[in-house]
Amino acid sequence: MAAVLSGNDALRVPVIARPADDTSIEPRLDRIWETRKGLLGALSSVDHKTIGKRYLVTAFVFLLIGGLEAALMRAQLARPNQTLLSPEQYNQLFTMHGVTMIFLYALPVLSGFSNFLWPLMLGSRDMAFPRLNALSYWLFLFAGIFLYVSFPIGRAPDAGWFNYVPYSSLAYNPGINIDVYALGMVLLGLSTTVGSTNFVVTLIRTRAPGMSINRVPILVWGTLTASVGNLFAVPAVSLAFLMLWMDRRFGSHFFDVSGGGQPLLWQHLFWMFGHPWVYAIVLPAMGIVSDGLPTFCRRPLVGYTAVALATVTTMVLGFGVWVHHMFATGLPPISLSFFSAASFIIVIPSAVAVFAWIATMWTGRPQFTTPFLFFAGFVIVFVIGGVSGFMTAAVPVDTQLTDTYFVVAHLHYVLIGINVLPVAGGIHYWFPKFTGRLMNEKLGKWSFWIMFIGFNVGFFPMHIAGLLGMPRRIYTYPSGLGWDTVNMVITLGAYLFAFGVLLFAINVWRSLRHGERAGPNPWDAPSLEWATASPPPAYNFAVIPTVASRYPLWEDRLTGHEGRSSTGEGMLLDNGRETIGTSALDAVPDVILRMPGDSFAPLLLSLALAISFVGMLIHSWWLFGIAIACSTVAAVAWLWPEARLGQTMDIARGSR
Amino acid sequence: MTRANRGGVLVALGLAPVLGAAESPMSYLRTFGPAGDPATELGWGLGIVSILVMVVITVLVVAAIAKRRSPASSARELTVQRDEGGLSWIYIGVGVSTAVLIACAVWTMFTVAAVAMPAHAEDMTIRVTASQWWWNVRYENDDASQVFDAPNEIHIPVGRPVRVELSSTDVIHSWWIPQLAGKMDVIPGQTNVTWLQADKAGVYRGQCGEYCGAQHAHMAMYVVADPPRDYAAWAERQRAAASPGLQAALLRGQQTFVNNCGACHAVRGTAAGGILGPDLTHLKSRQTIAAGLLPNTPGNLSAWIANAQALKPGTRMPTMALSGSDLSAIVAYLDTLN
Amino acid sequence: MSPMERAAAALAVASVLALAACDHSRGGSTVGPPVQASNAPEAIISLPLGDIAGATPNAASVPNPYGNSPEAAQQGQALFVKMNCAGCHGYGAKGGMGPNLTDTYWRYGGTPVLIFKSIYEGRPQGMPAWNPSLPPEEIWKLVAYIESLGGAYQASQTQAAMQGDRVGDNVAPEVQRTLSASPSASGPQANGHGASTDSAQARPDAGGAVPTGAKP
Repeated sequence: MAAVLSGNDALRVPVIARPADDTSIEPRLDRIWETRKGLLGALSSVDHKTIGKRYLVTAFVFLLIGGLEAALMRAQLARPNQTLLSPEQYNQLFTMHGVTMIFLYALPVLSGFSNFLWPLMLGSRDMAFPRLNALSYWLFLFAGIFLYVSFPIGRAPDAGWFNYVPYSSLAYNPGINIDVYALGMVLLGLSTTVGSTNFVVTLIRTRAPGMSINRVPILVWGTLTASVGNLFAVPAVSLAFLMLWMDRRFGSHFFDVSGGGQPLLWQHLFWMFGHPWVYAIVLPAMGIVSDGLPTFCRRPLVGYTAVALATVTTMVLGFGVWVHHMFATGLPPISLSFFSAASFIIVIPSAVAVFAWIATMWTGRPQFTTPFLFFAGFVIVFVIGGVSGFMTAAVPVDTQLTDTYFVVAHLHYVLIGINVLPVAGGIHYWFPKFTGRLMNEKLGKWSFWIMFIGFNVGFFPMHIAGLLGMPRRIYTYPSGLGWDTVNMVITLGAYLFAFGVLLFAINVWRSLRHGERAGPNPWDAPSLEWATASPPPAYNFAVIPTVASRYPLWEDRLTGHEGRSSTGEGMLLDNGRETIGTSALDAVPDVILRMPGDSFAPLLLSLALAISFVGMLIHSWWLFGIAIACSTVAAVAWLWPEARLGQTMDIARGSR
Repeated sequence: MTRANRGGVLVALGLAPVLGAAESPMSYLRTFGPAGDPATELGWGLGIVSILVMVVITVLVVAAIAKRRSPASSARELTVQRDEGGLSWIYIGVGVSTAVLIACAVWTMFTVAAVAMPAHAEDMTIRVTASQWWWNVRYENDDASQVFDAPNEIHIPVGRPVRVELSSTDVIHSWWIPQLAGKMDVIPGQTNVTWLQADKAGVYRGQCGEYCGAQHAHMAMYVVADPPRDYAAWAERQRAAASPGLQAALLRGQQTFVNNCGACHAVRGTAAGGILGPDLTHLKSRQTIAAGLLPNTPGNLSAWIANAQALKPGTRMPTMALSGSDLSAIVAYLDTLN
Repeated sequence: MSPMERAAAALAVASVLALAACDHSRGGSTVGPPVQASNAPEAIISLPLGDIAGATPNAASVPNPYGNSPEAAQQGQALFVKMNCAGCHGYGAKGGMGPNLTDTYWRYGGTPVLIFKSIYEGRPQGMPAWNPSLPPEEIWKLVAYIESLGGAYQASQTQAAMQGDRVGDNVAPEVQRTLSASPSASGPQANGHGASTDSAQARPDAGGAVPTGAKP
């Protein structure tokens, strides 16, 4: 460890070193960056790789729970007039299925990938705000637990995941079910906001020197776009839920008709958030495919710039289409036409991405590995989801299709197709980087085919059920309407898909223990994360890499540019936990960033905030007050100025 | 029937065995009135475009893999030497997509205008009030004495546009008769207006299209399109109060009904004047009970009155604590309400 | 997996298993039928009003079968409006043509059973008999709503309620006014229910002043 830091330490010129020449570098960096072992280390770790893996595992657990909820629902709907579930049970199940999948799985799993991979892809030692990163995970975990504790007490939310008023208002839903949902979502919104901020600042400030904005992987573009979108969208839903909670428990009348409120206000606020959110949960996954597919097609992505711009355009346009969830509400046709047109236009950037992927496959040489299968299957499923969305973009057609199983088919094609398939492929792809082992190829291919076939058998007939007039959110249906056969087929297909997911989970479990060990770059992939060991050491890079192109590890085989990226020689930065800060567009290094060490403050702050929400839920104001006081203490402890974290110091002050 | 509609019918019939369209009273692959037909044509058009796109993309992906798949061993080789090429795929693909999208958007705007209002003004208005979980329908008339209520089973004359004014007493519902028109939500605090027209006589099933609580699954209604003379006769009968002359045996049933049921249900011409549940003045003229849940037979009626909660858990109709003789007397009385 | 991750996974799995084991028929917007509502009426209806020398019959201490379920109280409130109880008792049940149901004065008894009987049987001077128009379950929901307003007695206080064992309770408002000068007639706090009789809010038919403004 270096001696006492001097006042101008952050402005010093970094030492350039070659780890190959100096074998004391890596053990020294290990000591600086490693989290201590055991429970205390686990609770205080701010290592982005640990947090990323936690996000992935927790999101996966929620995926399985949501899947169980779906399995129960499909059992109930397999035949007409069944009584396996009561209406209230079914309503809680379908609501929690939506909440779990959309909020507790879809974004967190992508946060998991991004958390683990971003610093590695960007050539940095950690995210910009490591403790904030830990906070976002702990808040997510506690919000998920908060929402799920409602199940054992029989009070899970039951008004659907979009929770329309007046059905979710106190007069029609007097239990605490909806309060759990409202407060749980506000707590989760804290996690999302904090995480999004972290991603945005990390991208702007902590890239490797030379990694200009047009050289970052598409996953980074996807997550960046999603994060900026979330920063604007999440406040709308947090506001809506707070207003609903106030209506329910404090007698306000935001949404209450008898008090002059408007039910449609809820829908506007919710969908202003909801639509950007669904793009936030697919754009990073599309980025996973844009980064993984080229590796298995043995060529760089076709149209990188077009794809990056299409990602941003989709998100921007995504803020202008929310009324397409409200086409049947009686709004004036001229305003509906505007949103209908915007919903047609938003297909265009997605078409850019689809043709870029197809072009990459046609002009490359595809390799039939499991990740490639997931990515290629994803393209087909993406397009099916996209065209069913295109059909619902037309207002008069949507007034027939909306609230039927056609929309259920569409949303599952876009969510399972655009989120789950790339996630599964991404896990196969980056598994060696996460764990140091490869997943089993044979079992992987079996799990892909069973998932793909099961998914299509299960969800394609939902389009037909919808066209035959089956509404959504019904706990049963009469026979004689032509829905019987198609529902049975859907149930069987869904169970087949679930079996495929089970095989995938088994593959993960077994490979953790018995998978073949992997070197740093088993797929011969081009991006920076593959320059580190598998799994990477705690400090990621012994020296900060310098980047000269989009595909650093392929530069020896691609011609057309002069620069050479370098991972073997670069800035050392070993005076404590440090990484380099660079300028926003061109990644010119300009300051050494001091990173905080492991800390309990994020965990304690999350716990205190979660308890304060429990206090709000049960109207225990003394519990709320104590928890807020503890949160304040934790926040103060967190923010207490530390000399060793000082970024700029008065040079005249000299050493401490 | 328009040419396009006929074409649509042919395609639908061709696909009928696959789609089971023949016995699907809720299928909107084929509609029967100008409030829905333009949208159905548009839907078929967009659907065909969608299927073509799916097929083209699937073929492209599968062909890419089949034709271009590399042998197993070339791990270190790249297929290109420069980071370029392939952009024409994007230009052509996105160009074609954009043209198709714009054409469909324009077609959509024309269809929005076509279904927004009927060609000539409606001469009949019904006021639909949705509650959890049934539909009350008031047949409006400029002459107040001609106004009547007839819940859940709506009759309209064939070939004439009907204005539908929608209001809700509680939560958001959605008015949806798939074979006649698209949905229109029923939102408390505002009155949404839509229209219906059936060009073919028949019975069209509808169902609530917005999740509204435990029995959203069982909130159906039927629209019966009658030839104009039959409609007039039906309306005339519905307007009348319950006929006064009753045999002595049924009078007891009527009295029991008024005592137990009159607080919530109305039978015009008796002391039962409740406005909380459906008007039962002409109960026997309807084909179903409990908002389309059960066929209207004495057995079903008896089961419903005895234990509505078992048949439709959560329904606002309470389980009546009636003795066997009271129940059969009430059912016998209700059987006279044609 | 690290120990933390194992613990998180175990917790999630345990929650799922718990869901299978627990009662989900309640909650949200639906209220299941109470268990013994069907046999309550006979025993209850045969109870006489007023005290019986000696022990209180068990039937009189029957609590509301809906307990303090918020769904039952909410449905009771909906019934209160829809059956036009509000027309006489006011929209907050604060009284109008009929008495205030939020205070602790109950002319015919304020335990759940006695409130049930009042609704079921009707009472002199205008309270209609709601049997048979409302089945017993619906009447219990109304009782649940009235109990939620804070003025009713607990079922276990039947004895005390009938025998007037609590100081300051069970005083008719018109009598309350005549006692208002004396200190012993300060507002009764019936076991923390909170609602106190306001001596200024007289019942119109008692010949006193009509309340000038609604209490919030």
